[in-house]
Amino acid sequence: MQTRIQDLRKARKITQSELADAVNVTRQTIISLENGRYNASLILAHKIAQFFKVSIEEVFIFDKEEEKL
Amino acid sequence: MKGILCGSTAKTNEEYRKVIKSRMKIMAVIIIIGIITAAIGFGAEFYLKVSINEHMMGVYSGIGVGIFVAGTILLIKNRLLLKNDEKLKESRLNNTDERIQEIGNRAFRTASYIMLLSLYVTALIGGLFYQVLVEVLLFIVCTFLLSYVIAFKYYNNKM
Repeated sequence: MQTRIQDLRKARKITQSELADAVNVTRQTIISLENGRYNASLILAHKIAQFFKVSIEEVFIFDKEEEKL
Repeated sequence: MKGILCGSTAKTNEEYRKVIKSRMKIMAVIIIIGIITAAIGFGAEFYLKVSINEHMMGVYSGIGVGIFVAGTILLIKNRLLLKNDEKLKESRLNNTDERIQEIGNRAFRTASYIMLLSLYVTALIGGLFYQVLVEVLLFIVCTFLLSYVIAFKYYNNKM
C-alpha cells in the first residue's frame, strides 16, 4: 500500500527516528511503510494519522485496483 | 532470538520491565534444568545406579552445560537491560514492533514446513535401518500437528 508518510514527515521536518519513537515502532518499520513494502495494522495507522493530525485516508492511499475490488 | 518466542505487548518501559523480570524467572528455571541435565550426564552411573553408554553421557552433559550457559548469558543480558533505559527501550521496540512480529510469524511458518519435511524424510530413510526411529519421529510430527489444531481452536474462540 502506498502512503504519504514521507511527504507529511518532510513537510513537518520530522526524522524517521522521531516518528518511530512517537508511534512506538522501529525506524525500519517506518522505512518499510514509506516504501510500501509493509501494510500497517489499523492501530498503527491510527497512531500515525493522529501524530500528523490528519485522517487515515490522507496518510494511506487505498488502491481499489491493487486490492482487486 | 529476534521475533521468536519473545513477543510482548508492553507499551511503556515500566510495563516492559515487568516482562523482563518474569523472563528472568524463566531463565532461572532454564538454568536449573541445565544443571539437572548436566548432573544426569556427569553422574548417572554414580547417583542413579544405571548404566549409560559414554556417548550418551557426553550428549546429556553437553546439552546440560549448553542450556546452563545459554540461560546464564540471557539472565545477565536481561539484568543489564534493566539498568540501561536506552537499551531497554531498544529491546522493547524490537519485541513489540508489529512488523518484526509479522516477520517472526512468517519465518516460524517457513521453519515449520522445513522441520516437518526434514522429520518426514529422516523417518522414511532412517526407518529402513531403525524401526523405532519412524515411530518416534511420526509421534513428534503428530504431536506438533495436534498442538496446532488445539491452539488454532483456542485462539479461534478468543478472537
